Amino acid sequence: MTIVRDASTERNEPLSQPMQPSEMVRAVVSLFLAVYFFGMVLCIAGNSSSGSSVLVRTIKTKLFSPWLYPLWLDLGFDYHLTYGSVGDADFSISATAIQDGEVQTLEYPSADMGSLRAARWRRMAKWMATSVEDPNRESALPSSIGSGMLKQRGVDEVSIAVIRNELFEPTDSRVTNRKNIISRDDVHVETVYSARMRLVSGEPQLIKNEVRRDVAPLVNPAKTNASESPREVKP
Amino acid sequence: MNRDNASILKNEETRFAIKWEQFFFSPANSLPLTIIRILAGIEMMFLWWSWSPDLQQWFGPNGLISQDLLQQWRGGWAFSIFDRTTTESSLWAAYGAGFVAFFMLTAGVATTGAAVAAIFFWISLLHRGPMLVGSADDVMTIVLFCLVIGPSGAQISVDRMIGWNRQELVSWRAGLALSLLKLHAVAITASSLLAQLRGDVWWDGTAAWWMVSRIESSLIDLTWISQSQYLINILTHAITVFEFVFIFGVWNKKMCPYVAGAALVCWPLIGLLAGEIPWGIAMAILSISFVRAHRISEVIHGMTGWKISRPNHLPTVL
Repeated sequence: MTIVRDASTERNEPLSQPMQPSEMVRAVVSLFLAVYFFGMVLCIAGNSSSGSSVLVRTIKTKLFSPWLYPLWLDLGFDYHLTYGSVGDADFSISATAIQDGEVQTLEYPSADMGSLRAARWRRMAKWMATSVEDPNRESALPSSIGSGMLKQRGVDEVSIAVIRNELFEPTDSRVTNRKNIISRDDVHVETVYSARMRLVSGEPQLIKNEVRRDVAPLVNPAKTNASESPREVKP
Repeated sequence: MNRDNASILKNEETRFAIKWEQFFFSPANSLPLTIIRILAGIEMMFLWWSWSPDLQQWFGPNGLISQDLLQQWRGGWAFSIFDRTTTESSLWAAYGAGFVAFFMLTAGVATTGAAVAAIFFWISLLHRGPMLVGSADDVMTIVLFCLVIGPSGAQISVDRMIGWNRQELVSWRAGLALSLLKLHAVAITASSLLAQLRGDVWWDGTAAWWMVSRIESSLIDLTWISQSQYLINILTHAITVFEFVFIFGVWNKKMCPYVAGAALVCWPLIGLLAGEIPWGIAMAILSISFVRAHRISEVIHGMTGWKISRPNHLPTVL
């Protein structure tokens, strides 16, 4: 068998007229493309994690988001992959369901989940962690997740915690001295959000727990007066 | 003087108009688009199928993502067919219909209609759980739109086999779809590169380590790279250099075949390193738009023995 070189994709090759669109079609498509590309540039600028000007946000929101967002094209494409910050660590959700004194602990993602499923749970956990900083969304995700778990498990109370894994420095002794792969047991974790969801008169109620880093240290008044740092005071 | 300036301006406008028309409206062989359709269809089916174990848990009648949450999250412009599936059976039915659409798209059955249906179900799913969407999902949306625009079922499709599709193998719609895929591939890469360069780790050469050190999201353990700081630095800088070369190199006629060929390998490897393999594969699929049809013909012939002939001599592949 022989392969015939297909030169038709070479742009300089003369092409027959029927294969080209009419001038009217070209004009209409060109106009649409110009508008779309302008919108795409604004979306990339406006959805960037580094922020954008009020002007860019306003034009994008008023003119382009109404038709690009429903098509899932209002995108920033700023896939930074990592900044090496705590926000780029692995997140997970730990849920504890309590019914008649019986405690059942659930881990999301669980060890048996495939990578795509696990990635979605990690995204949800990360959103829950980052939403803590957003007063409009702070309790929205935990409330929805908690209510869903109450219904799905048929329990009266569920505790939800968002866990963040630590990031290893490349010079960390656990990395440099290891002979086998690092196991999950080697990883230190931090609870970045914790809440209880319970049914009160049939209505779900969210009670946020203060995580340890948010709790003020105990202060001994006698020693504080002696100009000693509160952090050094032991209860 | 003014007349000279006006003349220069007019010439520039004319040159831009010619370049614009050449880029977007020159007819092209639909074979690269066909390959993109098949590979994207396979990845979409895989992504779609991966939702099935958690479908009811996320979106079911007692799902974790409630309608109240969605109202708060996504504003008033979004539409999702999954907002209407209020029972378990209707959710499964809509989900199953989506899978059928992706299968038909991949096989090339009523291809244009299947592509429209596929994007409808795909966008519906993304709007139903916007906080669960990853980078691969975004990229595949772009690819699906381009498959709707171009005649992606003109070759290697059931439509062509049974005679439903008699579209020209070379068409301006294929050229337009491929041009849009190219532009988006470069725009996504440029936006990613700019985002990366805002982080210190991409300048001090440690980004590769921070990606592989997320041991839970890594598909394979690559933490052994910590044994050499130079290796970590090389991997980090190689990613940024590759992305930079990709953005500019694909527009150079001599460099394009090499850059496009490298992209098919490099994107999945970057995805592997970052724990985002579906994204890496999606970017590689997008990069196929830069590969010339005759190269694809040669590869297909080498792998399967099928002969892909010049379109105006033999109108069909299968």
